[in-house]
Amino acid sequence: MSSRFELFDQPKVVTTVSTPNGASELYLIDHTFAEVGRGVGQLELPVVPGTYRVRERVGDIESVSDKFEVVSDKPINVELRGVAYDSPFPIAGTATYQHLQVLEGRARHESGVRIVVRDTQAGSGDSGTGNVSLMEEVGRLRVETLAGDTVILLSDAVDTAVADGVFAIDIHLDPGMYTLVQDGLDERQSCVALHILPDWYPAVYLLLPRQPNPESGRRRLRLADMSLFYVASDAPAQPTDTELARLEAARHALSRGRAIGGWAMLPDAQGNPVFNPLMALIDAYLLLPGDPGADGDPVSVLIAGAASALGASFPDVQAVRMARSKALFDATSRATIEDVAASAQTQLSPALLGPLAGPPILSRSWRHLLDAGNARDRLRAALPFEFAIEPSETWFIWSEEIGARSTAHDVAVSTSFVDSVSSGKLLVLSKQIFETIALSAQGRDWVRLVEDVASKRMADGERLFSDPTMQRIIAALDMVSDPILQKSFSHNPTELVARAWATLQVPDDVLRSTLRRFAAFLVKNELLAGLGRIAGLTSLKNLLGWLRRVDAAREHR
Amino acid sequence: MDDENYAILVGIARYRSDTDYPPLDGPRQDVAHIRKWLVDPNGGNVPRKNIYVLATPRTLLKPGRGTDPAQLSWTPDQAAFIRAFQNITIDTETGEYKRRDSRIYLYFSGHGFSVAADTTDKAALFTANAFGIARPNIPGTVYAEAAKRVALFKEIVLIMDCCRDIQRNSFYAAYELDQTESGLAEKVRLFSMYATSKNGKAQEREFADKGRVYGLLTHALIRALDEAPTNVLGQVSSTNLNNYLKIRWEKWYSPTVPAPVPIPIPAPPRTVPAVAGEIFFGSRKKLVAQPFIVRSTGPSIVRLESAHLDVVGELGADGVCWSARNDPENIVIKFGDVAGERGFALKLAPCPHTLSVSGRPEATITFDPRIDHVIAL
Repeated sequence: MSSRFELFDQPKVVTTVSTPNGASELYLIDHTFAEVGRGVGQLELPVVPGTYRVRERVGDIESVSDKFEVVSDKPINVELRGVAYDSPFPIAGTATYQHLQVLEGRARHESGVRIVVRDTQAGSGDSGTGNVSLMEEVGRLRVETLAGDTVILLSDAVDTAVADGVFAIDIHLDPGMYTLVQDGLDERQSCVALHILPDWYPAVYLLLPRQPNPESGRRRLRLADMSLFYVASDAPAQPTDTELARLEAARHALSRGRAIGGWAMLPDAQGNPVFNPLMALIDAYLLLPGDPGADGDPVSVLIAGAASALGASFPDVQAVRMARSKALFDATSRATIEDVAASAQTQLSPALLGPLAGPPILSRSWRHLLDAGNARDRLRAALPFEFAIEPSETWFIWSEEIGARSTAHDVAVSTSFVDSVSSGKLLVLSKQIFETIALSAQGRDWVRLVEDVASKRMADGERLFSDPTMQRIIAALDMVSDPILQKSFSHNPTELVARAWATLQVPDDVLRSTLRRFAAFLVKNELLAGLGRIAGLTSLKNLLGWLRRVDAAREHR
Repeated sequence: MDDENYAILVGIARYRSDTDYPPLDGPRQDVAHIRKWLVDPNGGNVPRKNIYVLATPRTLLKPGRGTDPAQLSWTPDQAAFIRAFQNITIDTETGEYKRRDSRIYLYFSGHGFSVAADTTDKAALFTANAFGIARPNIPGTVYAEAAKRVALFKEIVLIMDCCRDIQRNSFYAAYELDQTESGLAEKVRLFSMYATSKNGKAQEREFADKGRVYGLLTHALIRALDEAPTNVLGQVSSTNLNNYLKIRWEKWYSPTVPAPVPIPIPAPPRTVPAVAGEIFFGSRKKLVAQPFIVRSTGPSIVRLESAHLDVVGELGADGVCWSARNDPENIVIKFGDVAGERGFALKLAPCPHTLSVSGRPEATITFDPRIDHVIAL
């Protein structure tokens, strides 16, 4: 702003602009259509007398105030009417308001999650039909551990609607990493991370939209549109509408890449500070890079607050720290390189470089985690399964084939098992595999499957299966799976195994080494599951348990 | 007329698959509407020869009954756009880039999409030959960003009046442009307007203007360009254009006919301002040239105000430097000859103005550019 205006300006007048929920983005526009100031929740700034308007918006819903005059010596308070947007949270003034207490009835001091599913058509009088439709959608939701084990089907946890078109489910969960899973199409499911903390209690709100999904022609819940709130486990009161509205406004601003923020620093109606870790994370992203030279630099304060509440190793805390460091380096023109480096060093705590506990909550966090130098290994360790990123500008949502995480978890467990098992036990287990094949009419099919996989997975298979010892092992497996030999030795299959084993004739250490590599190959390519089915078992986990039991039994002999 | 300004206008009203891409009434008229503004010396000021129009031909609007769509040539297509882009940006003799110290307009109207993985605002227009699993497209944002990266123009204006449905299986068509960023790229101003946010729907509507159908973004843009307040040079800044359009949007596009179920007001367009600074557009308003003669010899500061103008000018030895409130960019006008004296001229709205001089309240005057003429300072 040109200071030359001050030569002409009349004394400025404090102008306050407020909104019903204290949350909207506000842009003060003067009579020349220039932007005089901007802020969130409330604007209070000195302006020269004149005609003004305010653009108020949340997400893409925007409203423009009537013109108002700022007159000399008369501070003015302009109250806007608010914008009515759809919110999964039951916030007064939104287009989807419904009188509900966000966390009423929650057992305090207990860890867990509340999941509330609402219908935009609640209260329309068509509650019966509405609830049936909503119940179908609830039936597509469940909570799983990060390892893929189902904790609870939401349809099993809900008895009756707590209100017209509203289901609320409280789930007690031990602190840890979980996922909220939604069944999708084509044997795939969408997932979002649920971080259950000892001191912070999450509430997830989902809203069944008014309009049907163009692809399915039905109204569908969308994880991408969910609202999430963390409340302190021992909080005596419900979050206020203002707190929820600020979180919603900030969520929409983040998803739209807006250059506005500051919601986390706003006080409550009594002027007391309010802290919410998710709000702090979102606001930190919105306010990046911040001013590293400023006292009480807000971004640093927000990140420190989030780290204090959620833990320094929380994926989103790590991500926003990285984002902050990068932004500081990008802003070198605003400070000396030494200042920036020193500040970045402070942000790059050891936790940043440590392992990731799991998927982040925010999609912005995921992007920053991807930018890290050691991203591939850290993300692979945190998400050791095949997945695709779902379109969502706020939350980090991934889709996966049903069972992808549990299989990956089993593989991780069993690979570790193979690595840790002693050589003696390995020999016993290997012989057990031979016996399983020798006893089964489908044994030969399994051996062919192994060879087929080896030929397709050249990187692993070629080196292993070109090994002379491995070729002997395959020949021995061919022998025990030969239908004619199986028939000949049907009275004593152990004898067939012993004869096949005898053909190996390689030094003991070479055999053990090759068998370990072979076992690892089988586990990695999930081929033991097939063997489990041959043996009448249904899953790899069972097979491993079975193998362990066999192993234990042998030791007792 | 700035001979170096260019434009490529793409309007696709018909697609080979009218089930996947329903016929549109707006794009051809959108292109005509934009073109009319562009060729106006007081508007875009772009020479007609520098405007490449790629619009659905009349023959495709109503193909004869029984015509096999597969036998028709579905244009505009990607190749047509690339030809136009290369004609403008590549030197035919050397094969190297032609860098221009001017502006290019890239305008698109039709069916469009955004890629799910986008982290910044991007969009592409499906081309007319999109059919089935083949989804050829013109990624307007990709071209605009490439033109900035290579610094082909000093200013780039991207307008995408199309839907931004999220596509999981469509990707922006590749075009080989040098990936090396020019050292000049940072100074290139790229101003973008999208009809909607990512995953949003663009709309077209019939207007009283002879029943013509326009995309809402196109209609609003031209209307805002014609109505928004101007600076002392008679130009509309991109910031003011955006504010004017957003403030008027609700009034312009609220449903006028009561409906049994309330019809929501369409979401306003998404604007991405130019990071490197303002872009200024011409205005077709009836502005008046107001001459000033400068008789004071020492430096002085004046303020000029009207209903929609509030600027301060610092008179120096050689010219005057105008500043607007909250705008870091100044406009410098060199003194020239005005009625045989040292002076300058401004292009002002035909309405009362007040001119005051710092430290001399008695020198304040009110004038109307339509009535008064030379003003002495």
